[in-house]
Amino acid sequence: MTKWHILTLTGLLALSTHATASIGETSALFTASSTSSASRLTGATFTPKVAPVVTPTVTARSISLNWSEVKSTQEVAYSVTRTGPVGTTSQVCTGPNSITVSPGSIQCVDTTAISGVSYTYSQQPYLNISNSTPWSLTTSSPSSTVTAPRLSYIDSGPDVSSTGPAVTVPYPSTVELGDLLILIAVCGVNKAPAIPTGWNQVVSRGVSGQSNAFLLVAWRIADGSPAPGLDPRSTGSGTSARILNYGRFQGNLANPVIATSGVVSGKATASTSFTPSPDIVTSGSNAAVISIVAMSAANSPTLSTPRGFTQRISQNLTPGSGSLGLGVADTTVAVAGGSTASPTWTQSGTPRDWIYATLAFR
Amino acid sequence: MKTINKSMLSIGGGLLALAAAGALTIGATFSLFSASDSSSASAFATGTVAVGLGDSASVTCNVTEMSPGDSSSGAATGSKSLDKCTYNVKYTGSLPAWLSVGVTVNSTGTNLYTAAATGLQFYVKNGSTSIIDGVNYKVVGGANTPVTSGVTVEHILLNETPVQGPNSRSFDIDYLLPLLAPNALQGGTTSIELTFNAVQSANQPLGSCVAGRQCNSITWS
Repeated sequence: MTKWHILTLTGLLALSTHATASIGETSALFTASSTSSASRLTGATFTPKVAPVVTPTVTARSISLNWSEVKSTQEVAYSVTRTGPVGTTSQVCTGPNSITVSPGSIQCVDTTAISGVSYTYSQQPYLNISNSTPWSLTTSSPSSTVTAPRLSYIDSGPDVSSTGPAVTVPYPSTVELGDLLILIAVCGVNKAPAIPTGWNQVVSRGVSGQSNAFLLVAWRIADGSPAPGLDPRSTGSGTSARILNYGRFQGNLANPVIATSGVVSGKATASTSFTPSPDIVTSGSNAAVISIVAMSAANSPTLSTPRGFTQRISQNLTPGSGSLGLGVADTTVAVAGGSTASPTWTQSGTPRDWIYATLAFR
Repeated sequence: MKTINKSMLSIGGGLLALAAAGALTIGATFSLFSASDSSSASAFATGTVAVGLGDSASVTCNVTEMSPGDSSSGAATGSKSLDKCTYNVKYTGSLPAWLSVGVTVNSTGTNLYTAAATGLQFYVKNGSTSIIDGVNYKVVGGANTPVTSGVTVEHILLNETPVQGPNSRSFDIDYLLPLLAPNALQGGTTSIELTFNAVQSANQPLGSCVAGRQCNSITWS
């Protein structure tokens, strides 16, 4: 609705000026005018007004990028830029359906990152209108730096248990040829299970007494062989086993190898908190360092001081008559030759002796 | 009263003349016979020049969050999905009059209107008479001239023969934000308002003025 302002000028004043005009002294006329209300038009804006910063995360074989959604009256699209060594830039997350929008959150995957290279990411929201000059926000600040790994944790196969006969330990469904497979078996008795054929043992440690338990770790490269059968050699207390898949990052064609001259493993007396020692020293760049702990109780081992590690497994197991705890965490170490600070683990309940191992692969 | 009664005048006049003669004789007083009359009053009334509300309600726009390509239904191009603005007004005076309209485009802060082809465009019409076409209006000679933001375009003539009230006028205000509107216009704001003018046509020859162009040869206020 409109409110109009009406101004009407008539009457005696006009009459008198009209009369004087007739004798040629002044020129004034009957007039009237009306002015409309002002119509107002405003251009679109974005919410928020500052482009959100990208959070890069190594996920499976690629780098996942996430940031908060930006809204406007039209569909908002995003231009994602990757900055690599010496400032080289390239567009990523291009093409149809390359960016996923879920309420409040945007995600895309950098499918062209190269193992061993460090990147930052930024994004610029713009109105997705065909054939238009894009209306956009200023490009976001750069993300934190992320280094594309050679190997990254993808997932774990299911846990299987046995108190007697050999049991098949299934592969994770994500395994591809050339991936690094790590078999972890935890026993409720201080006795090593048999190493399956084709697997390379790296850790075989046990403790006796009240903390009676055993940790066996072996690895191999995925080559299409059938899933291994594990003989637990542990009647009564049982053995629990699973296979972890550390997949090769996209474009990495090198076979995984051990990346340390000294795998760390051992046992430590019962305590609530524990930091494996010594710190492992990597022998190759961009190595995956894996910390494993186990104990003879369902004490849910968790990282209390991660020191850059990401926890992958914190599990309580009951393969036989007793309970066990298992924890696995990992990190990527870019530079070779230095020691990598171990994370600190904590177990709940009544503390039991720790069995631990620290490995490195690349 | 214009009529004079002559019989009464003759009788009274004899008596008064006699008395006056006696007085002159003794030299004490002196007076004259006299009479007066008033005409009927002549009446003078003015005609009027006035404007009022139109026959239907006007529509004042408040268009927010315009994106490149957005336009109103009567715009030249664009989405044509938005409602146009209207200004409905009526000349109600009794005197024959010339009518004109003025246009003011304005802004505070970032201006969507840039007086260029990539900025906000306006299409202001009164029936078939174009007042603003994109960014241009026509000056007296007919040349297209860009509207300058903040400067009122005055006196675009609407009629070449005088009109008497009631005479309704409806102005359509359509708009377009072109696809190539630059990013700098993001969040900009522009307003537009019209001023409808009427002036008596008597004693004001139109000269060479043409409807749809500025007319400055007559006095509008």
